[in-house]
Amino acid sequence: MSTVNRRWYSGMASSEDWWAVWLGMILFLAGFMSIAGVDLVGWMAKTRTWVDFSPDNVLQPAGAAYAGWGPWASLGMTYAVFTILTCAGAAAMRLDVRRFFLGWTILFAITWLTWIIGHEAHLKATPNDFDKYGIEWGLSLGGGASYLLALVVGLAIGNFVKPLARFLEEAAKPEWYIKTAIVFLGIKIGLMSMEAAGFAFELAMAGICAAFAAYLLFWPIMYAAGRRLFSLPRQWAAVLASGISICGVSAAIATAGAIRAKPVIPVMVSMLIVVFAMVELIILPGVYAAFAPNEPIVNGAALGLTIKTDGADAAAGAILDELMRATEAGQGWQEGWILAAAVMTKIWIDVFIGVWAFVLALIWIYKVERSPGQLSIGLSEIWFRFPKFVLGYLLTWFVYLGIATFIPDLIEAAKTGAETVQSPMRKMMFMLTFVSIGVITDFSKLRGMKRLALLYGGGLLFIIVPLGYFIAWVFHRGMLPPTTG
Amino acid sequence: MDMIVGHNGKEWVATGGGVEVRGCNWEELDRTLQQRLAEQGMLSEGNPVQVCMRFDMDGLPRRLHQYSSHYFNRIVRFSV
Repeated sequence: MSTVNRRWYSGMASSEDWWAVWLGMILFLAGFMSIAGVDLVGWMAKTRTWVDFSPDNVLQPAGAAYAGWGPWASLGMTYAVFTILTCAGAAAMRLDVRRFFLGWTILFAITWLTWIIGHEAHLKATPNDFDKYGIEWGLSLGGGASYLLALVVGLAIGNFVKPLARFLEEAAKPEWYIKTAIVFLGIKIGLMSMEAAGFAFELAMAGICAAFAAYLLFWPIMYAAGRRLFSLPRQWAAVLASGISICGVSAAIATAGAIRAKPVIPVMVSMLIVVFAMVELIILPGVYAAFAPNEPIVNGAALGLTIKTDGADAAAGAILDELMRATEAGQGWQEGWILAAAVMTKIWIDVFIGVWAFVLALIWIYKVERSPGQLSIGLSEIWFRFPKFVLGYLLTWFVYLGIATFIPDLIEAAKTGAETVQSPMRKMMFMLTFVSIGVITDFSKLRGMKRLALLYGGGLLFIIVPLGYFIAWVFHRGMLPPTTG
Repeated sequence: MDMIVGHNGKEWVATGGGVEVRGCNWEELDRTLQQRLAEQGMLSEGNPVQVCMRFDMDGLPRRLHQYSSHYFNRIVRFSV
């Protein structure tokens, strides 16, 4: 049986991208029922900052209606619901469901364990909360402690326990988890837009301008560097330029497809992208937070322009959000806007990949292969390459923005369910992304790719990161997240 | 005419409509397909054939599907 795209609805039941929409929408609708006075998502387990370990101190159900459930019932229900939903998705995607189930269970356990440990007060609490928890010192990492811990555990498995990493590969799907989290993030941005619609609009517009500028600058520079400095063949240079300049693996595949390159090219380039995205994820949030503590939105947008997979970008945005809000300057900033800056810029880049690949395909046929008249390209190619999870993200965003604008009386009721989906559920998907992205990143894969790795690493260091930061600064400078209270 | 196309590591392979053709590059694949269509009487003067070659995503490693679920659909017109 083959997997081909024939109709506009091809892949709706069988691709990770669409399943991020379905998973996101199912839980969005469940949360949305709170406008009818029914809390269908309050069973979701939620972590608490703790000093003395006990189940009651570290976990609780998210919804007030489920307060009597206790930590174990809540965590059990969380596992049951998400296991059923993800296994249904795995079956529809023709994955090995038994292997997925076992892998998912292990990832779920690692996720919650690291999440709970990362909420220990000495790791998480910010200085102004030290008295509240009765502690005298702390690393003040905010929620970033859990994310970093999850990443470290994932990387340790991916690089030092390879048989386990191979076993977990069936369930370690960072792009699926992060795309689902981004659908949930739409709810959060919808809620935030209720109070700061102007800022959200400004952020979206600045993001689209920055993404457009990055498209125009990054690709030609990297293509020229590949051709002239490293003498790469045209197809390799084009695929690598897209991977490093646009949206990573998706762009490498889209470009390779547009120019009908042999599959081995995007396969090789994707290894570079995944490994270097991990390096960026580890280094950039800390560097940006340290060197530009007063430019949180520029820092977030710069991540969106420079980190090339959705998973690593959103993960880095989440760490940056936590690190910057844990500093003295960021104490009053609302949670989520720095992350939103990272994700929004990246989403604009993702959205236009189909159009870019279409344009490139035309250039390739008319200028490179010079076979006009014989070959043609369907406009459907743009749709097939469109990232479908963006539809879920925009829908959830606009639904909550619509409620605030047209039926403000429902805001409080809508928030009850929405808060659970956009906070503990979204954060759990982020945590799963951190663990999974670590599991699938094997640094030893760079062996034997010296020349390509040199071009990719040099391109990131000397072109993409500095130029990306400059573009982010041009369009976002001076923007600060709305403050709490 | 609809065909499914993939790459076996050495050459492109297109199958469909009772035809299987191979080529080290696209030019060779198209030339072979054109000959085969003509031999089978499916292509003649004034009777052009449009072939849609859809890439089989199973030809890309499963781990890459989460990043993109589409490689390409290639439309070629053959005429005598």
